[in-house]
Amino acid sequence: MKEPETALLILDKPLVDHKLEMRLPEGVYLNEIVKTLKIKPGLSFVLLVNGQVSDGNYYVKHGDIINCIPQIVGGLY
Amino acid sequence: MEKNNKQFQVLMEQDFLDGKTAFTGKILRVNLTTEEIWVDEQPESFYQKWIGGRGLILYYLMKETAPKIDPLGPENLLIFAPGLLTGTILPGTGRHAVGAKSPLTGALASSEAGGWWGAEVKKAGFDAVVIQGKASRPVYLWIKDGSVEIREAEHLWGKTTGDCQEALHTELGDSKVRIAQIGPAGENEVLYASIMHDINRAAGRSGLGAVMGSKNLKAVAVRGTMKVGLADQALVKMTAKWITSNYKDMMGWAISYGTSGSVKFNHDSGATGIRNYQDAVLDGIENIDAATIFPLLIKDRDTCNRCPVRCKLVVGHDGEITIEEKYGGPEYESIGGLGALCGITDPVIVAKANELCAAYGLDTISTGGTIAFTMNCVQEGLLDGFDFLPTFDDGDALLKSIQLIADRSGIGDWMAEGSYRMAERIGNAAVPFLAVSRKQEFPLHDPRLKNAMGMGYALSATGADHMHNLNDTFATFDGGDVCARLRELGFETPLELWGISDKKIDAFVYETAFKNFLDSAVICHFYPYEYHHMVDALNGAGGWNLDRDDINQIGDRIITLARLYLLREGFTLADDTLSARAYYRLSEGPIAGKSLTPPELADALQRYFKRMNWTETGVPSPEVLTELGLEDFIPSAS
Ligand code: SF4
Repeated sequence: MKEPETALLILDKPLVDHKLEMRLPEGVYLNEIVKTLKIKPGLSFVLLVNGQVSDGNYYVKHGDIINCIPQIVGGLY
Repeated sequence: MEKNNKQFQVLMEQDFLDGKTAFTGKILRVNLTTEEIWVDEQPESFYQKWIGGRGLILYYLMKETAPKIDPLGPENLLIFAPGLLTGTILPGTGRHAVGAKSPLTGALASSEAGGWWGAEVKKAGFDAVVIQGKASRPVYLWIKDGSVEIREAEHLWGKTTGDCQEALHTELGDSKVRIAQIGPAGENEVLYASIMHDINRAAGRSGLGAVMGSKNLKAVAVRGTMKVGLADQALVKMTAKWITSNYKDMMGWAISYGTSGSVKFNHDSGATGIRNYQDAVLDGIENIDAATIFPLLIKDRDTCNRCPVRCKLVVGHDGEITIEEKYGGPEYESIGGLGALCGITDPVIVAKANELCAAYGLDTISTGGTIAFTMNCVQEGLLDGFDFLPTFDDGDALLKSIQLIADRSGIGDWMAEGSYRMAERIGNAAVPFLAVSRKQEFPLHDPRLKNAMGMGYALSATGADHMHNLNDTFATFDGGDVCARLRELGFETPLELWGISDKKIDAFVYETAFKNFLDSAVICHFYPYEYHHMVDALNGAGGWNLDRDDINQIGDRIITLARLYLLREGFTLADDTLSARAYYRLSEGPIAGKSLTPPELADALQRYFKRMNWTETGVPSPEVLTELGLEDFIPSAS
């Protein structure tokens, strides 16, 4: 039987307590998926699709690697 | 109030401080030329209007300095301004602001530092210290519980910040004395010299250290043993209780690694400029991220007054390169500026560079930015005739450059003026490599990724600054504190990532107002406080009945007055710009092909001006000035 076409979404610390890898079916809208992610309160992130920053306005393709990169406040002295 | 020479004492009674409000109404004034010391008595309405910090700084600069003064002349004011909430029981309030006219930008210098110094001044009975004039020889100020003295500092001049602190602690016989001071860089008037507090907390940006050096003022040493009052303890305690119950979850990132934990994240998302913004990827970036730095260099953690988070690093190293723990450790901005921007991935070198900047009193962002710009010019063959020139990826050259800048020696004398003035000396060929707004080097938040942040760089009265700004990537997907604040204001969805829509401008207006309020109160930006928390804290501190709209109005008032200050100093719309590196598009990596264009920025500025009810040239309308209570500052028609 043919393998379902999927993409991989990776969530890591500190956005979640333990690293998480999710298989996403081809064709889903990234912004809809993002809304369902359970991220720790107070944290935000940047989406990378295959290493490029994405605004989430994107339909997932087979073989995509999607990373959520935590955003931490810059620096105070 | 009567003026006194050289020594001065205000009768400070604990019950005056304890229990009434978080302000005493006493602003310490010092004229270093005449050696007069006195106190301005300010009414409650002053604090309701200006709060403290940046608000107070702008008030004094606008009221008491003439337009277009020499920032390094005796007529400039150097203002140390804790905020209304500094030194209170609320976590995150161990900060204060320092301000002046900037020698780097010719505009506003207003920079905040952590630690204990600000709280100590409040506990000594003063809401701020405003210094004018120029001493005839090196001096320092000694403030203790309402008494003030100008003391000789010939023996301290030339010392690093660490040595100066040690000498002052011995001289004053108290290791609890908190010290704000300049290092050799400030004495040599390096245009981006910082003022160091407790030797490892900098009021870093815009050359405040040079202003202090120009006044022959080496240090301000403070000891305060009284308590800062609160009008309504219960109100402030409510917010303190909320954050105490939630900080472990909401600020876990700060507890675990501090901002050093963001180095690789920011690199991977394209936020950190690499080799002066020309590369997309820096091999070995993980070497200067927290995961490597912690096991290799971290000896301890440190904190600010009343902060359980302890986000600060204490690094140390023995071996060929030694690093002293007393200088603390690098923040993300310092690692990015002294590391990635210069192509350096050796953690010991980057930590050493940070230590040198603390010991000499240099802003790590402008130091890194200027050295990276110089390296870029060397790469392009635009510089010659010097015994030494730094090149990308060379750690020893980075360390040597910092020393030369502090000493103003060789190429260091050029670098001490910042990258913009260097480009003026080199000529047009260097202009494409500049990463500045209003002559101040960009922080490590690349405007090619963060477009509203870029607009904020162009607009800010301080020149490029990431703190009193909207951080686009914190508001794109629901979760962070910026989103929470925007939701409180009625924004139903987060902001779009790319570009600067009207909705983003709206969010920018609110967020910059809130941040300017924070810098007046003066509160740590890392704390995830929302409007209602700040409303309670403010009312508890002052005994007032202000609401969320008042907070926004206070922020807008400060932003608008800062704009008037810019206009008064001769800046125009033509100065609201980003330099060439903001538009240089990378061909690969996370932000490949991305950046605003100059017309897009110009269009966004017009929409911002309209939203603020300013004219097309960015002049606040008289109606706005009246609405914000700035009638006193309406420019005369002549
Ligand atoms: S979170 Fe960090 S910068 Fe903020 S007050 Fe605490 S120790 Fe200081």
